Amino acid sequence: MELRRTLTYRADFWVNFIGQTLFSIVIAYFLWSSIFETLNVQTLNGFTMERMIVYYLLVPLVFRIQQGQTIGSISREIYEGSLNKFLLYPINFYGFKIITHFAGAVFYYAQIFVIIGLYQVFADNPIFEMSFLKLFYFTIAMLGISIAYFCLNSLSELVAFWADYIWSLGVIIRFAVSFMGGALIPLSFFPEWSMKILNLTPFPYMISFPMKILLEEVALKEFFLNMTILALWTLVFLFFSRVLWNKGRYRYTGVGI
Amino acid sequence: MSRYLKLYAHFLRFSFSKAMEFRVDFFFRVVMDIFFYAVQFAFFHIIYLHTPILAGWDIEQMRVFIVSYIFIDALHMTVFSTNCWWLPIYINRGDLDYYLVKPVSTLFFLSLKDFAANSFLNLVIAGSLLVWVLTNYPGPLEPIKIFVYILLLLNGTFLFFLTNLIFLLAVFWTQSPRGYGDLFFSVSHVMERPDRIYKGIARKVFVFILPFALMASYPAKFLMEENQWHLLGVIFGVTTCFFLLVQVIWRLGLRNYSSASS
Repeated sequence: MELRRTLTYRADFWVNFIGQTLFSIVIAYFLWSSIFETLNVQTLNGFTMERMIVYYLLVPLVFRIQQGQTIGSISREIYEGSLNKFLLYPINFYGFKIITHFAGAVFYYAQIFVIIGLYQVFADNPIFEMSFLKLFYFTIAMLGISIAYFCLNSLSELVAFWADYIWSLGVIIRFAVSFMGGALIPLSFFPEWSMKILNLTPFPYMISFPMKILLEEVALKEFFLNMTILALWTLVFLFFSRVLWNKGRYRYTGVGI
Repeated sequence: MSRYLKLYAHFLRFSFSKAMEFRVDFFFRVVMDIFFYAVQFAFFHIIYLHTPILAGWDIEQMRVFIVSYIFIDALHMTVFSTNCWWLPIYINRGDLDYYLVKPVSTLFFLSLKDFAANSFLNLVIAGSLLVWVLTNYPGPLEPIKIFVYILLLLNGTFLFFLTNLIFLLAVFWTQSPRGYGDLFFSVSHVMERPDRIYKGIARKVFVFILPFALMASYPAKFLMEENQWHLLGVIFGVTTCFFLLVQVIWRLGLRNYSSASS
C-alpha cells in the first residue's frame, strides 16, 4: 500500500527524485571543485574529487532510506483523532507504524542499488566495489538505522499529546541527523575535538557509518561495535517513547483539533 | 492600492491571533530556526578550517553572505512560505473556486493571506544577525551601498518566492498535491553557496533560468566589492522577467483548472 501511495503520482515522483539527486551532486561538485582548485590538491582528508561526488550521490539516498515514509504520521493521528481506530484494532500501534515506515524505506533501498549499479556500469574506474558481504552489512545496518530513526523521530511525534503542532521538532531532528551524521560535510572534515563528542551521540552511526560500509571495507569487529552502539541508542529512544506513549495516551481525547 | 494594504493589515492581525493559539509551536519554530542558522555558520566554519579562501571570499566576507541568505530565508518563511505550502493543495483539491470569486487579485490573496507570525521572531533574530555581522565586518561599507544591499535582499526574497511559485504552479498540470515543491527545496540550496563557485553553463543557469545566484550572492558581492553597480541591472531585469512569467503561468494554469478535486 505504501509503495502504491508513493507511486500514485509517478511523473512527480521521478522528476523529484532525479532532480533532487542531480542538484545535490551539482552543488557539491561546484563547491568541492572550487576548494580543490583553490588548494591545488588531488586529495583532501582522504577524499579525491571523484570520491566526494560519489559520497554526495549516495548520501541523500541513505538519508531517504532512514527516513522512510511515516514522518509526521503519528502526530497526525493524534491531532485528527484517528488514533482511535488503533486503540480498538487488535494490532500494536507502534508495530503497525514501524512496518509502514519500512515499506517506504524498501522503495528507497531499491533506488540506491539502481544508482550503485549504474555507477558500477558507467564509471571507468569505480572507486568502490560491491560484494555480497558489503550488501549484507549495508542491509543490516540500514535496517537498524531505520528503526533507530523511527524511534528517535517518534519521541518528537508523541509530544503531540501535549502540544498542538510539533512539525518543527521533526525538522530539528532531521537537521541534527543531517549535519552531525555527515550528510552536509563528511565527518572526516570535522575538527578532532568535535568528533570525540559526536561519537558519543547516535548521529555518526546513522549516516557516516553506512556510507563507510559502501565506500570502504568495514571489519566485522567494527561492524558489531557500531551496530551495538546503535542498538543501545535505539533502546534509549524506545524507552523514552514508551514513557511518552504511556503518559500521553491518558491525555488523548480522541476528538482531534 | 489602499484596499490591498488594508486587506494585508487584516491578514497580519488574523495571523498573529492564530499564532498565539499555538504557543508551543511558536517556541519550537524559534528553536528550529536558531538551529538552522547555527548549522549554516558551522558548515562554512568547518570548510574554512581546510581552506583560507572560498570563491574569492575569506571567512569574514562569507559571514556577510551567510546572513544574507539566512535573512532571505527568514523573510520568505514569515511572509510567503505558509501560503506556498497551501497553494498547490487548494488547486489540487479544487478549493481555488472560493478564492476566484473574491473581488481582489486571487494570486495576491493566496500569496499573502497567511503571515507566519510564529516565524516573525526568527526574522527578528535573522535581522539581528545581519546587523551584528555588518557591524563587525572589518572592511569599509558605504551607507548608500548598505541601503541598496537591504533593498536587494528584499528583492532576493521576492525572486525566491517567484521561483518557488513557478515550481508550485506545475500542480495545474500534474494534479499532484505538492507540485514540484520538494524539487524546489533541493534546488534552493544553490542559493546557499557563493555564485562564483558555479562555472560554465551552470553559472548561466543559476543566474538567468534558476536565478538563485542573484538572491543572496549578488547582493553580498555588491556590498563588499568595488564597482559592482552593473549587477543591479541583471538583478532587476531577471526579477521583472520572473514576475511576468509567473503572471503568464498563473493565467495559463487557470485556463487548465478544472475545479474538481483529483
